[in-house]
Amino acid sequence: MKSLDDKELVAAIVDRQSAAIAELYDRYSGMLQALSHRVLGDASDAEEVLQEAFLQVWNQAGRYDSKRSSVSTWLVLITRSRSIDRLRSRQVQQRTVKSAGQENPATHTSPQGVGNVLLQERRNRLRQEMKQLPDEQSQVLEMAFFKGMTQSEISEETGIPLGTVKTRTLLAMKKLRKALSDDIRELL
Amino acid sequence: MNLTSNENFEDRVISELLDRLNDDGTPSVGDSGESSQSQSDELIREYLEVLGLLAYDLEPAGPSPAVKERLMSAIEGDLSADPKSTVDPIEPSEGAKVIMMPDRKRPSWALPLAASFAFALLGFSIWQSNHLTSQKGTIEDLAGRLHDANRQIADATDYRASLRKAESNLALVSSPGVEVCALHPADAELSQKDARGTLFVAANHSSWYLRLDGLVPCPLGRKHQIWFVKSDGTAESGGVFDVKPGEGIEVTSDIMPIDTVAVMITLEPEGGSIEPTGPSVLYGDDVMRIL
Repeated sequence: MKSLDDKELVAAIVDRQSAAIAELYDRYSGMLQALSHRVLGDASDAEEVLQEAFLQVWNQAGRYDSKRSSVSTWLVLITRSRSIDRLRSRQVQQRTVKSAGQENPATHTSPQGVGNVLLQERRNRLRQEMKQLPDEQSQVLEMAFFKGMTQSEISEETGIPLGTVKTRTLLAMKKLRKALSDDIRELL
Repeated sequence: MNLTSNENFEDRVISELLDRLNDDGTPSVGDSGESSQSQSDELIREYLEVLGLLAYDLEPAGPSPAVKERLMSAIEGDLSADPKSTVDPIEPSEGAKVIMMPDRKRPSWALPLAASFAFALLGFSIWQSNHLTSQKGTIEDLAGRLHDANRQIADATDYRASLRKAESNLALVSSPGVEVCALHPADAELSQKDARGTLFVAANHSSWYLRLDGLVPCPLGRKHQIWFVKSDGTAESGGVFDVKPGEGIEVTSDIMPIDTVAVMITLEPEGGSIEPTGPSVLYGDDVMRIL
């Protein structure tokens, strides 16, 4: 299974091969756990969401459409969506950590390999580009993505006019698309 | 397609993606607008990948091994229950924290029940619409009545003022003696050189009537104020007023100090003053007694 790429793993999951989802879990559980932890601010909740997300992948792998997104983006969006649903239902916003990097465990249990090296390189590039964004742009982007806030809610919470929030978000997205064009091409 | 429309389309794609981000699954943007379908699909996909890449900004956090164990246990249980099924709910293993998927088999009574509910909802909506229309008519009727009542109150206030003025004038003309005092422009106030005034006072000072003509309207923030100057030199206010261009004015009251020796009109701040502070406009102390 380790030799299969992400799309092939999803195809194997459709064929009900449990080893395929185990491999997919090994590849992405670290990142998805961090994502859910960032949204929920609680490691235990994040683990429950992670399990639910992979069960959803197991049951709905047939719905994955490679023309719409890469497997990793599909996994990220499923996990984020479930995390935000839980965040809203449990009203745990106050526990959301300000900085996931400070509270997330530093350990990385995913197996080492070529794949992880590539992921680490991609992570480094993304971090570098995120640092290039002005604070006000990365702020609105993080509130929209990690807190699940609409642009109107961001405007209300920050006191920034809605038009300004939209402009900052658009600028941030366009910059990232341009800066990460190589990574995007790889994923496509 | 020009650059501006390209940018607008790109902005719309981003905004719609963010708006739909909280929907379950992978969001998509349906309306491609003026762009071709393939271009729009490409753009949508690229921005989806941007969103997916945001998670790479986080330091990976290893979940506990128990998560994978529970996951695989649930999956193995699913496989052993129905290896070919892709839609049946998963039977969780003992201790596993699994959210059960609902049974998707639809009961036979579900459709009739849904239809009944829909008809009931439709009926309720129609009733509520009629009810709201009726309430709106009632509100408009009440607003009309309130308007009429306010107009009658205003009319009554005018009648009361007219009646009081008539009573004052009647007291004046029926008085056993009337004093008349002509008011002339103060020397220093050349801008009011055409102003004239005549004050009629009942001999017992029970009422007075002042007729003024030729006064220039007050500047912004100022008002004319009538003063009754008493024998000790102090002045008592008779009220503030303003005039319209080219119009005369009549002022009347039944309050006047008994030892009044002169009448003066000054220009004061809006709202009036406790004692004369502004320039004198008209002044009169030459009293002539009639009868």
